[in-house]
Amino acid sequence: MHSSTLLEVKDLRVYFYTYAGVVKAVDGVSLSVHRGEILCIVGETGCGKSVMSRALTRMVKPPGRIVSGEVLFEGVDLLKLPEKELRKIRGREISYVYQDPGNALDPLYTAGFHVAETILAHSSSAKFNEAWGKAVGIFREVLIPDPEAKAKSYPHELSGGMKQRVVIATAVANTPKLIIADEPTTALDVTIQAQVMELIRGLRDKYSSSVMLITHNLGVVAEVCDRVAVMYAGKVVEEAFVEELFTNPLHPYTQGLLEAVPNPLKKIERLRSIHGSVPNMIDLPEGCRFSPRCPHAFQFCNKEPELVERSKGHLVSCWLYRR
Amino acid sequence: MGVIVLTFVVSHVIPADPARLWAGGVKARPEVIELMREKYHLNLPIHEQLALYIRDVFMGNWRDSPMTRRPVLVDLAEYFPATAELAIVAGLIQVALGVPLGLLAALKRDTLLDHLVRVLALIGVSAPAFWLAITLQWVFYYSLGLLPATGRGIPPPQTYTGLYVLDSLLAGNWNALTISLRHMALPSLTLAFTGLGVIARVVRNTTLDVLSSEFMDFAEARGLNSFKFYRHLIKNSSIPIITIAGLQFGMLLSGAIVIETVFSWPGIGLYTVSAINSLDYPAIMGSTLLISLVFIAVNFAVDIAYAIIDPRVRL
Repeated sequence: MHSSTLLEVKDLRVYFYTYAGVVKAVDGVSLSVHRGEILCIVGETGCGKSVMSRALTRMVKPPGRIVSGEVLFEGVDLLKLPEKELRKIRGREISYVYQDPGNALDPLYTAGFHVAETILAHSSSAKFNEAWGKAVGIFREVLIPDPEAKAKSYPHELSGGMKQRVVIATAVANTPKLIIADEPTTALDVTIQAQVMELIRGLRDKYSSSVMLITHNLGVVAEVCDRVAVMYAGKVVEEAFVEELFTNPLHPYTQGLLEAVPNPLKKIERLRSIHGSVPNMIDLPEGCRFSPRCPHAFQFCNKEPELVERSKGHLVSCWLYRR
Repeated sequence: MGVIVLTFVVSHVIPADPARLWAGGVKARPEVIELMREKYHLNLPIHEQLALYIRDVFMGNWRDSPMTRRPVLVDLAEYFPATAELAIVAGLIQVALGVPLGLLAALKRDTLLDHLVRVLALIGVSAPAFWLAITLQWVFYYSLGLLPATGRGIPPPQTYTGLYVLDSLLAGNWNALTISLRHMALPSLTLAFTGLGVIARVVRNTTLDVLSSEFMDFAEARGLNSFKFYRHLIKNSSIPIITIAGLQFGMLLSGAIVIETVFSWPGIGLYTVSAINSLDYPAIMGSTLLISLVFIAVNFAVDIAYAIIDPRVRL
């Protein structure tokens, strides 16, 4: 294990047992998050990013089930921890920022209450007034104007961007070691998106937390990430440092993704789309899952490739790069 | 106001001669019948009767009941506390049993308990109240001899509110309390049972709704302990629960009519039934009006409760 590794995920599998069949939402994901870095998870809708992020603290609801795998957080397997211990980690060591701030906050409680409550949940001594005071302080840090008044506001009285700041405030309330941000900007408009990303990066610097940022926005990836893991159909297909990934994408899927958006580092004549669509997660293609859509598919692709390191820190799972 | 007009019209369109009945029936002397007509303004056209009635109601004169020869308000003051007591106790039983049952059913979804609650709700809705009442009487009074079958028992020595249970408590009279409670048991259980399952089902479905919402997921992600987690759950579920409990209370008040008849409970239901049988317009209208007023008051209380719980309702 790398000395600066904070979280290591090994062969994580989360299946949903539905009437239509077994949905293999996460099917053998392995990745690691280093201390103080921002790791981006990129992939199309439905590729298992969100489910994977929630499975890290075992927040998978039936019919979903974590089938196998290990999630080593500072060397402790979270998947084997009793629920009570896990609860101490959620919101304190590992915290979440949800996609839709409009629904993440309980409409019957004030913004400040959410933060204060999260502080109190993980501290045995603090009084509510102290926690409230801290909450107001955190509101100031996440650049909420007039924090005293905003803390007393109810979620419906705040704008979307403000609500997302409140959600971020609850996430950083206990200075966690890992913040998992699940598409934190998708529900916001573009100008607010940039502010929120800037905020997340600033908080990472301040608390030296690690951030796992889930997104499908490659612009965001290029802007804030240190490392990137590309997911496709429940698996990580490529993992690399951000410059490396943008200049030298190896997996045909990553190449396709990059050609589908304007790339600031390369001049592209016209944007191309990836043919076909995400495979049916119940009835996955044999071998490499991307092979039916892959322009380079050849006879090897009916066997499943493994994720192997090709150059330092650059991992890919594709038969094109074997031998 | 609408209620006044409606009950007035409904009760007055019945094709019968109330004056003759009130004067003593077929053999009544014509002078007496005429006197009755005078006293109750039955000679006037119906709209003038209505106008007079509305004026009187607002002046606090709810007329005299030709049946009991007393002011309707005095009658109501005597009979209504019995019904109120029955409905309140039944309502408390419903909430005290229905809410935890519903919560458990939601938390233990699709288990045996959940199915039992479902069956209970179905029986509660479909079993006729009078049948249940008679069955309970048969079992607990006739067969086992455990509980009294009819009436409210003897009133406690001091009456403050007319609610015997409350009065006995206020007076600290344990003997009277036991008597009242024992008489209360069967009718209130019967009454409660009709709506118990409905409450449990509503609580179950609301709780499931709230549980699946994203803020409950987020509450879990924040690592809240059970107490804090359930506080979010229960507060959010309570809004629909209060709605249904308010509606159910209205149902309890009106549903009491059948129960009161079977258990000879001297409440407003029994009073209304005998008023209907003797074409006692002032009593019918008076009791309907009172029940409507209580219903409106309960709904008002429900609206206030919303505003307390939900900041989005506040202005």
